[in-house]
Amino acid sequence: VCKEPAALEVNRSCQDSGVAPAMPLAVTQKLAMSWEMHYAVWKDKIREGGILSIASLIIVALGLIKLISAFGSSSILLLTDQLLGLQYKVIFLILGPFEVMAGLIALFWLSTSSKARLILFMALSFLVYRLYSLFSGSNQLCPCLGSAVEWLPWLSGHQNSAMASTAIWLLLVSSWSLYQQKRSFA
Amino acid sequence: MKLAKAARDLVIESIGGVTVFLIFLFFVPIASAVVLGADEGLEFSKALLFARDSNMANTMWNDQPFLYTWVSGILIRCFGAHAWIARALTICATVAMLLSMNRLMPGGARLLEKTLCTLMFLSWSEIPELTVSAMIELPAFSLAVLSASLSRSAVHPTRWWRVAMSGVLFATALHVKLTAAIALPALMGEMLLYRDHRLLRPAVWTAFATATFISLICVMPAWSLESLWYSHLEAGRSAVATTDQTLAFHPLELFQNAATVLSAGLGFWYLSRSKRWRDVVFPGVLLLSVGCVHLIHRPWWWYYNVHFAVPFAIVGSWALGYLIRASISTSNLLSSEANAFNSVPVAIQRRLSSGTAALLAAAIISLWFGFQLADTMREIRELDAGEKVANSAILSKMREYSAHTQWAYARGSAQPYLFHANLIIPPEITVLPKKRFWNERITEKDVFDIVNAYKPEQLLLVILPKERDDSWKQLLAKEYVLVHYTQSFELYVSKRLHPKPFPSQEALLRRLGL
Repeated sequence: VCKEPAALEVNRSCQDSGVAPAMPLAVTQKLAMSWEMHYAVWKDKIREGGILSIASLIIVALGLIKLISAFGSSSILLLTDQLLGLQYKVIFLILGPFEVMAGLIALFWLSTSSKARLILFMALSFLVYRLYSLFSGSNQLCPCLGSAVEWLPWLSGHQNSAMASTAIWLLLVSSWSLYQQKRSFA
Repeated sequence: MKLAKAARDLVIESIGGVTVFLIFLFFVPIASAVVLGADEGLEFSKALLFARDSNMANTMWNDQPFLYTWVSGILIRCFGAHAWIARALTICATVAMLLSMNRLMPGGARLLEKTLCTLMFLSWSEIPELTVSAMIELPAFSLAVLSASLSRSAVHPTRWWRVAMSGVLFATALHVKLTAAIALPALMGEMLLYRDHRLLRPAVWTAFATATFISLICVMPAWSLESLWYSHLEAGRSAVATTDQTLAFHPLELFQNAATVLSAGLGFWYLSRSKRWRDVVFPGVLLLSVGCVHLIHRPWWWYYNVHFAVPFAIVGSWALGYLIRASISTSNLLSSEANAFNSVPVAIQRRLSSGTAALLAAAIISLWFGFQLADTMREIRELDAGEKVANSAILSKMREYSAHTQWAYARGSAQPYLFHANLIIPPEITVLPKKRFWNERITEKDVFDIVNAYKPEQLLLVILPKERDDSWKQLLAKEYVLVHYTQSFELYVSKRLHPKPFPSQEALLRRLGL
């Protein structure tokens, strides 16, 4: 048995030499990891991410709301967006999964600085859309929460404000995180 | 030298807040708007009546002290009947209030906190309108807050002239509006916390306040406890005030200003936990007394929002300032140099990590932008969109007949138009607030009888069915001609002035050849 199977290169060299290779250590460990261990790793990642993990979770929640409400029967889904020229139902079906994926990627796979950059990008996208609505003179209520306004009646009158607040919060926390990283490197 | 240094410090520290307020003023049509606040008409009419004939103004029914009317009346005599005069008085009072609030902030507040204080104050519900309108609630409360700030700055060593001035200003505030008394428990609470002259200081303050109050009663042309105090209490117990739920204060309405309330909550929590009682006593006691009074007393009017805006803005802005400093403070938090630079107390750093501080600060700022700033912008747009004096067709029609008009009659939202047309209302019905009707101190029939007795040359009537009972219809048909109307008002001019009637719809169509 090859004594040092830590890397694939070593395994390959073992195969070349005709010795039966052992499983790489990393793969062995990965297979051996139970769901509890995965949960513990993710929990650590979320804790490490701190404030950015909360921001990522908010993006996932926003995406899920869009996705779920796209399958609802709210009348707002049939309206057409002024900027994109598409029905809100279609937009929700495209953007909902995108936001969920972006949030999950930020939550589990990205480094802190990439996470902050992705969240900053999402926040700026939300804000640009909101600013467009503001300056285009459109009096139409923000439909970003889809059917959620039917679940929470308070939201119906405050959708614009709630979404603007969320976007600003995401912008502030991601900028703060990038600023802190820059300072710590300096 | 010391005074000059104190004045220079005050200017430097307050420059941010005052600049924010001046920028805000740039967007409000102070000189050109017909009306900027719901009760402006009452104050305008009282001041104009005093400016025209002070003896007649003394006989006017009035449920508010006379000082504001007296000052604005004198200014109208000097500069003419312009709305900006009375509004400028309120703007000066607002600047005084902002400077006083800066002085009353907890220790450690700097330019950032003081600028945030103005932003939080101006973005509180209804405050943008109150800071520019010719109404008495804000000037009265502003004098009371100024009195408190003078009292605070008279501590070490005790400067007795400031204690005396504080008493004088508080008495003056009561002569603008008696609701300023709501700040008295907070002021007394703070004075009793000082170690030196704990009893002598309040005694001197009370002596000066009482002497000024009594002197002003003697100087002012009219003073009646019955109309100034009992009429308000009676109105609060009337059937309308006790049954109508819209006239009650609902504490949940405070959450329209969620960012300021949340921030102030954190500030109160931190100050109490740190046992900084001297910092918490004025805003804390003020908030408590204001809350209790408004929960018990009815009616609740929109302009009472200023009572809540002051304590919440003082503590809220301080807390947000410190959260911002804590969140951007250097990573080596133990560095004493960094602490001195950032002015973050070690205690706050030990309790709050910079991440938590950033989370909270970002939440407050985003709530402020999303909710409060959006509401403030809407209020400013509404103020700007209101009718302008130069473009008002009904005003130009009123001015055509004003040279031959001795008396005019209007009430409610129509009353400001009379001021802009330089017309006065008979003293018995110059002040017709809702409370006067609730108390049954006057009835609609009494109003009609007074109008019928004076036979005013111009009537600007709000289009309401209740004003069109038979007696009114007969009077209008017999004595008046409709010369102009809008969606809200009808202008009638006495037949004695031979007015041109407003063409009927048929006549207009005929003239156009249709």
